[in-house]
Amino acid sequence: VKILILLALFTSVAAEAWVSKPPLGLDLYIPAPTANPLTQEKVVRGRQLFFDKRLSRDGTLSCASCHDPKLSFSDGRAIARGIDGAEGTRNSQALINRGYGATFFWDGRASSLGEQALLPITNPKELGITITEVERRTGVKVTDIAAALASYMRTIRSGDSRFDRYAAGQTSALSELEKEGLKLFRGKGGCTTCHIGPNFTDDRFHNTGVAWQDGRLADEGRFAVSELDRDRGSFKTPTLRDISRTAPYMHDGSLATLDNVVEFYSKGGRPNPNLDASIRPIDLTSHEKLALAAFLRTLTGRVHEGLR
Amino acid sequence: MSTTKRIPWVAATIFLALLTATFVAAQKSLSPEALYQRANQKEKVDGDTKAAIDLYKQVAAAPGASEKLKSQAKERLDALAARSASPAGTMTDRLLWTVRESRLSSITPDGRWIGTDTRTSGAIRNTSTGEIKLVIDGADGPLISPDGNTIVYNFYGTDSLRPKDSTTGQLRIMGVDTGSKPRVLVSSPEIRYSVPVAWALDGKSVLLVTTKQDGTWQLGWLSVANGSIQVLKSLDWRLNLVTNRKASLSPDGRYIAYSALATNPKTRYSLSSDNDSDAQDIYVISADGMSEKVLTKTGGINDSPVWTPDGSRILFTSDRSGTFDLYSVAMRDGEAAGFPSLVKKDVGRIFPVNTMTKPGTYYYVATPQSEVHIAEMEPRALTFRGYAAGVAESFTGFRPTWSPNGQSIAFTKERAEGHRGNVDLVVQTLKTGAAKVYPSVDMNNVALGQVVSWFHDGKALLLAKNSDTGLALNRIDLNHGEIKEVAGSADFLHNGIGAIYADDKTIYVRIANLKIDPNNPGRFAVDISNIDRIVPFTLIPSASVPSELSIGPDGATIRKESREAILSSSNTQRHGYSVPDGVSDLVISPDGHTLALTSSPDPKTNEVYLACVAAADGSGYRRLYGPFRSDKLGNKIAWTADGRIILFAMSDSNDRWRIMRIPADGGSAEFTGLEVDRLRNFDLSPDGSRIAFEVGANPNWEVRALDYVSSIPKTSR
Repeated sequence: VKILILLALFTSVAAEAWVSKPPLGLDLYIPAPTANPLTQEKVVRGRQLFFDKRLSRDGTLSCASCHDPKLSFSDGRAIARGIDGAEGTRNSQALINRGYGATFFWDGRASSLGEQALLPITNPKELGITITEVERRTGVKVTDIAAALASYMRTIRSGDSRFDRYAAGQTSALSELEKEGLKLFRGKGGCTTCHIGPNFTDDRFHNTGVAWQDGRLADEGRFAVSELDRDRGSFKTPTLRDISRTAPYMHDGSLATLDNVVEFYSKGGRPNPNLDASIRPIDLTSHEKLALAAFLRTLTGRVHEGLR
Repeated sequence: MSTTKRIPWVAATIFLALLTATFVAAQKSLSPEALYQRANQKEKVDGDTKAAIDLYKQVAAAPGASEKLKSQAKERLDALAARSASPAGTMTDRLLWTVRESRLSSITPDGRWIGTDTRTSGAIRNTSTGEIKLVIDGADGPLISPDGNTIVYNFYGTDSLRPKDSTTGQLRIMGVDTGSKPRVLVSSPEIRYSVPVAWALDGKSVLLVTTKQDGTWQLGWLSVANGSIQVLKSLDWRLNLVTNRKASLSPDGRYIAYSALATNPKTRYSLSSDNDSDAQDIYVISADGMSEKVLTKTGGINDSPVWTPDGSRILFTSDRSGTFDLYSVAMRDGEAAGFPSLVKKDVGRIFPVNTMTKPGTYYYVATPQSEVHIAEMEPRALTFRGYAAGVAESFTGFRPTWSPNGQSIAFTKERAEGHRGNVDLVVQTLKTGAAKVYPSVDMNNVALGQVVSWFHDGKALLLAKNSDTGLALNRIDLNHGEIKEVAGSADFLHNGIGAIYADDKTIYVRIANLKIDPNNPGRFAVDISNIDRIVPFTLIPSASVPSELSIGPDGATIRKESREAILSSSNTQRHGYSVPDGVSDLVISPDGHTLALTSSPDPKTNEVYLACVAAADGSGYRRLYGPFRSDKLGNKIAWTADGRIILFAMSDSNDRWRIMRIPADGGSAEFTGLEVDRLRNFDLSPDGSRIAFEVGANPNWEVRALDYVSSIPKTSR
């Protein structure tokens, strides 16, 4: 019995040893579906697939082409580009901390990371390949590809920012200007109406007016999924972590800098029939804009991915 | 055995005998009070019933014991005898003490010490003797270590360790011995408040529930060595200040059960939107954050999980049956291993300690609620015949009002605390006991006095509410649950509906004039014609309004004098009339000709008069009875259907009430025979055969202990 207990203890410790401790500020618990528990094998395979260009029709692109680890797994472009230079419709989102997410893509059309992982592979404007061909090239069943990619993405985490250290009690981690920005973030700026929790997102959909151009909606956003009128022009709240690495901003990459973003919200977004009630002019002063942008830059942290 | 070998044995025997004699002598030399305490400890902490009985007997027979102590000892002997006569392990529910607003934060495994807190301080208290070992002002939620020597607590008070400009609480650790000094574990500008929930088995960390500056909540592990926190799971806005303690660590330290809203509300102020659900579920997350399972999913409120001491079950409260009951569910490897079984019916909203003691006792605080009772009356003489027997004779709720046909009662009922609105509107059919709740009716800001009145067709209710925009009167269609505002005013706050006239078009309400005194200057009766459309009404002083009621700069004078009047107004013609004694409660006679009222209480004596006045113009004021004591707000006058008799209630200084009857045209008042503690409202059924009355909640919260809980589920299945 003692041997069995020791064996069980050893197995349990061994099973956990490969999981890296989350960076400061993030949860220990990462939601994973019962059907796809996090395992070492899947994380390793998922990481290989993530960087594998065989997953694109012409063998020129991989997931990492639009989700560059150096840019917190975003791509620095306004709009994503797929095979043959095809331009997509929206900005590549940073893949950090997506393991904590509840919906995926700007419009939330995928409800799991596994589902999300496959859609860009088959999208003609992204990697543009068929499932059959991916399975043939990799020798891996599509369900296993999805499970592995999802498992790897769950390990991509960014935290331990200066803000996290401040929140842990190291009050000198932020400058006075940044602290002022934090106060605005939670107060006058009203940013915490949507950007809440450790990942600075409520995982909900909001209309800030970005899609309202020339008196019409250039992108229906969440409406395409929900078919609810109130969702026209709504997009999911993105994380603010590593925001200084993930320009340009918004679902269409239309705002090039953080200063542009702060200015956009200071003016109350862009009025349109479905503008979110929480978006209204806040008329920040120049100094306040500076402070708010300075605070946002303190959310830049360290990215951990894969095995420890 | 040789003599030399016998010597040590003999010596040892003598020594033991002496020791026993000394012990017995010491026991006998104890004061009766000390003996009682020891007996109490044997009974409630050690679970040694036999020793407790012996000691209680000694107390009961002790010549020096006071009569009170002897009586207490006999009471315990009776209780123990009753327990031993019942089947082994029968669940018993003990009242430990009553106290104003106290919460229980932790308990030692032996059940000896319990952590409590009030709004201003935290304390450690002996469960047997009630002795308070330690009090810390400004402390909250003291979590006692298993050995009882150390506490971790939230501190929001003032001392040299907490920066003066700090807006967040600190988490501290301290020994419980006198002279111990606290050490700050957590002091972060981003952590607004922390609640220590449980010690890890190794004593090196503490499970915490924290709320951050953005109002979101987390479960996390706190290192006792360096104060660092590893967040286990972020819970967004799914907890609130009331539910935040509802996490429980399994006895083997592997799992944490907690309750939280099933979905994240749209704003940090929970459930502010109609689209937000108040469904609350219980989740079990592994202590290492590797997995999480949902334990309940009923769409209702599942709350307060507590592991049994052997880790085989979780106790929790749930409203799945329509009332809050205590359930238990078997657990295996962090998952449910069966269906929940009922442990105790109708426990109400309780706040248990999140761990049970090793002997299996479940400590909790019961927050008493108002109850509605129905008594039977002899319809002609209006004398009390006894309490009504039947399915719906008594239920939790307040402000009962009979339907015009006497078959239903409308009342309000508290719902889960901290959730949207605090009360539901309920209509209960007495014959079947069926209760219909109207969740679409937002009962926030309802008036203090009578909340709802029936329209005469029995198909709708009038609901009076106050909001940022003033008084609003709403018609609730009982078939469809639709609510429509029918009248309102920005100038008034509502103090209860007085009556609806038989034409269903005129309403008498009591209101406070915001322009005169928003803090309840007195009572005005206002009738509003044309209830079918929204009528923004204002009171315009006319010639018949006493001049002292006009709005002036001297609020104090107006307040004093405005107590002396009723003001009446209609949509087409506004006029006022004065009533010499003011008006507190107001009911219209069945024929609509007369208002029966009680005067405003005398501020010194709390005494009022019962009086009548002509409803149309306030003429014919006549006192029927008084002065008598009636110092609590509420509806406490009723007419019989034939308009001959008026019922009213009078109290003594101990909040004990007698319901009286008096002829409407004058005469002597007589006691109906119905006497009630804490009476707050009553209403007579249209046929005069029953009276529904509200008994107010006991102001004291009860700290209780449920023994032998863990054995119940096994036998009840």
